[in-house]
Amino acid sequence: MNEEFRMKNSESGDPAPSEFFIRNSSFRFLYAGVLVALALEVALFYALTRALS
Amino acid sequence: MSSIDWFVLIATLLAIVAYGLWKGRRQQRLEQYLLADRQLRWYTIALSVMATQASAITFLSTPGQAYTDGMRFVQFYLGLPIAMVILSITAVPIYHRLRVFTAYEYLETRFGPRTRTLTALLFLVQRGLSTAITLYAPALIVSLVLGWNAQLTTLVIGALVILYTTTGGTKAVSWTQTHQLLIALAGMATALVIAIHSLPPRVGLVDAVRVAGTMGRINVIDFHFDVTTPYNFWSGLFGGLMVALAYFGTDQSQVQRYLTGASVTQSRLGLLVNALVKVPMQFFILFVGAMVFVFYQFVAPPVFFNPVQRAKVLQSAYGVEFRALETTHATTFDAKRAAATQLVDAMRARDANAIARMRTQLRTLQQRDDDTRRAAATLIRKNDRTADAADTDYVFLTFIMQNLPRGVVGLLLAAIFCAAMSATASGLNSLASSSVVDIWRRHTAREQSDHRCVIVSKWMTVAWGVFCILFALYANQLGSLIVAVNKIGSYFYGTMLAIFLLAFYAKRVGATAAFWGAIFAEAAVVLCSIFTNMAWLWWNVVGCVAGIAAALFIEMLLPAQNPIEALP
Repeated sequence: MNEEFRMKNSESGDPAPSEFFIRNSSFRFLYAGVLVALALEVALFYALTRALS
Repeated sequence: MSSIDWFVLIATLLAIVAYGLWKGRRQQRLEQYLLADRQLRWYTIALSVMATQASAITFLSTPGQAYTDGMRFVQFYLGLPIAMVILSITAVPIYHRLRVFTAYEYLETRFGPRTRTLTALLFLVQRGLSTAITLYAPALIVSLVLGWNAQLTTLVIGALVILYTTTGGTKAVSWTQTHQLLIALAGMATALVIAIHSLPPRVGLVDAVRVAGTMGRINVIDFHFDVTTPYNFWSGLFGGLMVALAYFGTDQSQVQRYLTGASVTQSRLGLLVNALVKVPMQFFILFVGAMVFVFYQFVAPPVFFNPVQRAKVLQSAYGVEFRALETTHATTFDAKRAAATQLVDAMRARDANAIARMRTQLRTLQQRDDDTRRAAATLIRKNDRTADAADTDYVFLTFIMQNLPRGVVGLLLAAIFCAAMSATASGLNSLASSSVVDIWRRHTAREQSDHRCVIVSKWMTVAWGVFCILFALYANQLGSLIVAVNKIGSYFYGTMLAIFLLAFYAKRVGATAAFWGAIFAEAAVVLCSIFTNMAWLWWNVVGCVAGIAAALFIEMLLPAQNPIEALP
């Protein structure tokens, strides 16, 4: 295995996603905001489709 | 095209190239050249990510999709915001921490060089082909409407992109993309305003939307589950999620955009802005197409939008038959225009009976017109077996050239060329990165100096540019362009995503299981595409699920070992 990568890996620790999970609370709001915006878009698009078809 | 249009077009393109050359000067180190020294802010990343995905094909073909098929194509993007959130949580911090140059570099830490090379090669094949098609789109424009030599146009646009991409690397690509996207969106907004203003005086925006809805063009959401139809809510949510996860998480042309972020936060913000803006942006582009459709209810459209094929069939043995179809089309158009005008009047008068009557009449007439258009396409195909029977890509162009005022035509053409250049540039940039970092440096020249790597990267950019230009010259047999690009990606994205998901989440799965799982997944996708009528968005789901399942199964059969230690 490439030593360069072993080194990077050992320096940065286990790259498992659990280690990097959301710690910053402002990002939690952003993630939730994105999903809420998507849900609102779908609802709006569906209403448009129903109203205009 | 008038001289003012020429001036706007040439000035815009030269300004973009000059800006790219200026922004990308003095690139000495590989990290500078390939990752803009990891110094970019979230707004540049967001615009760059969006510009990479929004090629000329997006601006040419998408309005045509709305014209022929309605706005349901927007559902393809419903999985994208969810994918952005998932990638912001998982992939972005991992890539940043490992300070990788390419997504495939990360895979070596999990599955060894064999899987890294396999995924890099899959990427190079599909991105190479997609970038070539991206380059072909503007050539299509000019060969159609201006009578230019399409091959020469491909060469000129390709050469301009190669010039600033090779010289300035990722920094030049990302900064020019921000301006190119804004120019493209400004062009679309101008086209929308002109389309609405060109409607008869008594038809306003609300009336236009109602007419479009009546004729099935505002069919944005369809909850009906059917694996054989490409665009419904479920295929968009699940298939689209897989495509977006694979495209933004494993395709180097996108990963490279957010690897340039100054921090994890900057990269995440870039992706999340994309999550918020992408669906409304696609809705807007499709809405332009829907309004062009309404415009053509009051101004006679051609029966077939590709003028070259129309001219060919008129001169052939099918000419008389085609003329008869044109007469039928013109008669139907007159009836449709009268019915649409009466529908608008009835809606203004709030006359429910008249509205219902006119709606039924309009739908019947539209059905008749669709049949006439299908018959025209069949004749064109009979006359020339190599001809594309779909005219989706020509609708918006025809509208631009025949109906927009002087100066605005130049702006729209500049917008389309800008979009083509931006997507091509990031394609070439990422192809060069992966070729150098994952293939050349990894397998043949590990101890090369940074400066030599930069020089090889520049030559690799030129080489991929030449490949794309050559392939673009043969890309006119692939049907609707936007579908072609996404179809090529869907052959590979499921497999790529499976490998990355295994790398992120299945810590017990080792290199051998991941490699053979990927081979199995690719075979499953190819078999699905040949032997079933499954819509192509679902190939991504098949590839991903088959790859993960096969790898887990193979891992169970293998003797227990530590996957990291087992690497060669």
